[in-house]
Amino acid sequence: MTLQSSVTATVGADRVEFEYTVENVGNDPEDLQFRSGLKADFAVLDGDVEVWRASYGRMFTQALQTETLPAGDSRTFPGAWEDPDPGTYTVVAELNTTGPDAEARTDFSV
Amino acid sequence: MLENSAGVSRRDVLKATAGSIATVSATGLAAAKPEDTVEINVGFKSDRGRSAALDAAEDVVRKFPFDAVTIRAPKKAVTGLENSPQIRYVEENGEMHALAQTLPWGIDRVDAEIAHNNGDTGWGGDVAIIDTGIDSDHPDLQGNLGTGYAATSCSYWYGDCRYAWDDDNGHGTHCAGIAGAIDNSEGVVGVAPDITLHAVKVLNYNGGGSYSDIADGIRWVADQGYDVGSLSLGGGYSSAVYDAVQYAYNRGVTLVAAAGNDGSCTDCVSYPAAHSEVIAVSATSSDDSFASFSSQGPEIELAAPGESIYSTYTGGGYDTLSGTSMACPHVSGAAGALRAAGYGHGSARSRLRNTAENIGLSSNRQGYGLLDVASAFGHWSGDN
Repeated sequence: MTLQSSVTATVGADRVEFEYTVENVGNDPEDLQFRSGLKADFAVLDGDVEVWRASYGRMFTQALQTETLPAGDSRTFPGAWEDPDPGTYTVVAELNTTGPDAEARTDFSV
Repeated sequence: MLENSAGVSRRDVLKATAGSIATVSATGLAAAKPEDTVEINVGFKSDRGRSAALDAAEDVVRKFPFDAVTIRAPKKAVTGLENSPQIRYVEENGEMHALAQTLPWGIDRVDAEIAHNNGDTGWGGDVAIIDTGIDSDHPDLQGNLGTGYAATSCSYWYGDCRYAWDDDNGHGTHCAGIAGAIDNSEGVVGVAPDITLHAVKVLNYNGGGSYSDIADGIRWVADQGYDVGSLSLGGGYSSAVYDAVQYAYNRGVTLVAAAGNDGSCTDCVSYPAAHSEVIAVSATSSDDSFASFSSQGPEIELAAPGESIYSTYTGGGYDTLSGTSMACPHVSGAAGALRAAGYGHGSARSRLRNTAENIGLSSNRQGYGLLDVASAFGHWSGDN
């Protein structure tokens, strides 16, 4: 697979903004077949304990959707954690596709 | 963002189907059924004749500078024009006769068309599509639309929100067409083509919605006293959604939900489908195999077509989508038609179970079997 992914966390006054980027570093287009209306998800871990998940509290359409990512192009998915408690965390971002999850993670402190 | 929003415009579909119609054109106007739309050239003697032609038209294709028009009209209107002294002639326009309506493979596979031929079309039944909304002026749905409700509103930037429950995504419109697209001379036909469809918008333009909005949509359907709530959505367990499910169930609403698209897992039916009050529907392909994306588990009650399903879409168009979202409204339409025919809450559900066709999948995949609409109404389907 030729997807490369990364996630950034920007800590603000009362929220943490995430930006998850998936890049096609290969020479051929890649089809991303999303499983539902939820295309990408973010989870925040405190150690091994999940303390927040972007998709929590929501339900989604259950139809597949395909996007083609041309060679060299990237796709960015935003997310935001509101009113976080102070602490040190890890954010894990992944695609919700029928293919690889292109997981990315990074640590941050509030 | 939704990437399949372009859809296929209605005009493209009409163009595409015109070619296939040529094969039946030899049978001509005479073979068209009274409700079929035909394209005709009408010459008239007077303004009264001109008015008669335009009044008969569903669409006016062309107005000539001389005393003639090309129109599309129901076949049954042609006779009246032919007999009018104000009309000089009525002729078929070229080799294009009845505009085609596609029978999607899923409707065919569950033998809904056999039920239609026997008059079981859902007339008088109410199915709520609890989803992203329904395109309020889609020509293949509009005549079947009832009321609407928006727990979340159509996005103002979408530019085509005639109602708060209008569809700014496309998914709900697609599901609505599977359950109840009108049996006419264009587009597609649904499982229950005379059912009344109610748009309940609980998912936004991105295809997501909060537990509270979804619970409110289900609550509204129960308060209206509708027969069926169709839930082509899924996610994790929600106490509020479960409260709403019980509220609706106890008020006699038949609830149907998509099993989820989690694929390769073995016990992964999503909520609300996983609740025992809800009919959980998995997805099959046109060769009766289990769709690779479909969730499975002991909660699966019925299987229905879900891969490469052609149905209505926003902008008056049509599109092909795959998912357990597409399987769900096949069952919802059938449940609505049964309820319309007098089956109660429980008996409609047991009827669907007991008449389902065994397609040889494990019970975690097919439940009681593949939806069989003809058998549910007691018609011999031949399981074709």
